[in-house]
Amino acid sequence: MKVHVVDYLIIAIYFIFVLGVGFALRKRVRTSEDFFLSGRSIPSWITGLAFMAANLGALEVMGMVANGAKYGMLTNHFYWIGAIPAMLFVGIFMMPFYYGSRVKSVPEYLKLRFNEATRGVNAISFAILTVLMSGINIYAMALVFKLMLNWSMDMSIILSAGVVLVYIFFGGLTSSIYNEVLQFFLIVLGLLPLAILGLMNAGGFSGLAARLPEGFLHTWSTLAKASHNPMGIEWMGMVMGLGFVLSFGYWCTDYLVIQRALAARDMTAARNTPLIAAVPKMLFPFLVTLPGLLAVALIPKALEGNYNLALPLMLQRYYPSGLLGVGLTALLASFMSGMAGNVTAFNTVWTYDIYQSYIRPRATDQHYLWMGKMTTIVGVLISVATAYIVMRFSNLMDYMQLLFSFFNAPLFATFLLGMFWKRATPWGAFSGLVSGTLAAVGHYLLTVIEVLQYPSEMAGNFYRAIYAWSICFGVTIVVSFFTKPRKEKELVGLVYSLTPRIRREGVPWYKRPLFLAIVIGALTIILNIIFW
Amino acid sequence: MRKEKKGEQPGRFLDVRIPIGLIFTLFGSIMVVYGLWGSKEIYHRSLNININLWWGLLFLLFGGVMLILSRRGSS
Repeated sequence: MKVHVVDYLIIAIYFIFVLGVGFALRKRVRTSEDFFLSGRSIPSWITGLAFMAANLGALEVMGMVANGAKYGMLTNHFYWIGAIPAMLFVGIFMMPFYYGSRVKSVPEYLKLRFNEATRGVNAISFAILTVLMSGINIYAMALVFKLMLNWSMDMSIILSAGVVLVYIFFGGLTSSIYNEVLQFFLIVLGLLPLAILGLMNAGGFSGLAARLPEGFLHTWSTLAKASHNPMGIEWMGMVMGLGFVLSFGYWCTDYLVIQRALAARDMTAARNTPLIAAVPKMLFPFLVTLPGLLAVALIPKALEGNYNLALPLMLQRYYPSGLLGVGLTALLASFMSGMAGNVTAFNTVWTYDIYQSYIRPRATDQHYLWMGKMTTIVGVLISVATAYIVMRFSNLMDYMQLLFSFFNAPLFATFLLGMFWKRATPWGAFSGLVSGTLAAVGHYLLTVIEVLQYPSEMAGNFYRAIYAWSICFGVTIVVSFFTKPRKEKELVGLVYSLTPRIRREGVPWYKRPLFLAIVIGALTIILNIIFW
Repeated sequence: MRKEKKGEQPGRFLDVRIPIGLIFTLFGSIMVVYGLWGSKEIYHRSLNININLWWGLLFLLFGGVMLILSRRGSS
């Protein structure tokens, strides 16, 4: 692999810009709300792209190309059924409560709606989840740089972690969001030539189809039976596990993405944030699944047993120096935006939901700002430590879906009941959340000792999510009937039936959330039909 | 007429289109220069297309549009 001076020059310029943005924003960060929520002042197109990019970490880019090579167009389900419906739902139905109640974080909503204990469970489990996730980003990045530039693992880890630390330390969430927008454009424009060159080389879509195994270009037609497709899942598990529980659990409750919408400047901007993000999300399969399919068709030998490296291998094959630097920068950008998203969510939840709530309440705002900055340093250090732990695991994708099925799947049941059923009680929510999480752990242990068996790890993850969700849902309802609900007047603005509808939004019809959601939903259905 | 809001109110929106425009203009220029004067042998990888030149021009266009929009936006 030849990397020239021009490639290094492009990478160096990127680093300078990223640091420069953080540095330029440092004077704008005066209060803790500036640091953690960007002073709630950002236009929706920016928060929308950041919403999308915070989720564009290592998993999204490298992992989905790998999935494309392994499972074919079934991978598109992670977007079309596993993201879009949930993103529309959070924008239309849930954002009014998140943004309208002026909470600073997702756990804080749980405190207002239920009680301190429910918030505590969520804050702690979320803090653990985020640092484990951000370690994966650092590790994946170090892996690519070792492969392509021959840098040592330690040097790659220290460099990437150091840059993320500096820009968040100075600019807080604003800096993270701005860099995410920059990274979004770099990822899209840096990886697009790969799909174009690959398609040209394969002889267009028909040429590609001729070189692929049967069924690789279909999303639904192979889902009738688990044995008919490489993922080992039938449509029920796909729709309920991925499309409903895992997807809604992630997009509707994961503070990493919600935090971007909370930084928006008004209610309409906050509601439009996930809807704007849904547009590029809908089209992303062409940027990630397609190169994975192309890798199967064009470089089958190099790919043998190396699915995780499908993307870097394709870059090596098709990108000459110059463009290669841009391609590497795009990868770098994806890892950094993924990691920064985790670190900013971690420092906010730690500072507001753990430190301010349980360790030191009633300190000055300046103290919490200072704490946020210190937590950024600690968060990055823990991420580096987890990167070295993650290094010992062989399969990162399964590990990540495993974490989601533990934490996010039951949480979504808690939110659904909390927002749409006013009778749900504080202790109902608490016991549901705890038993849902324990159910996921128990289910996992049963698969480890092989009492329960699934055709693939992914199928096991989907079903574990369904069980965890159902148990949380059921336990919350049952316990709620035996415990005391909160007074209705305390729940105004937090529960659907007790909150006045938003009537006039003061924006033209084509900018209204409902209109955007209908258009995006229709386009997604059309894409599903085309690639049936 | 440009309204310069000075005194940097905390949390006020700084135009993100400026850094985006600058970085794409810079990357585009480097790729175009490299595509025009660099070695041509490297393009057998990209199916004999001088991808640096063409994609660099696209970057320049995108960067330019971003910079123009940021000028407009602030007036």
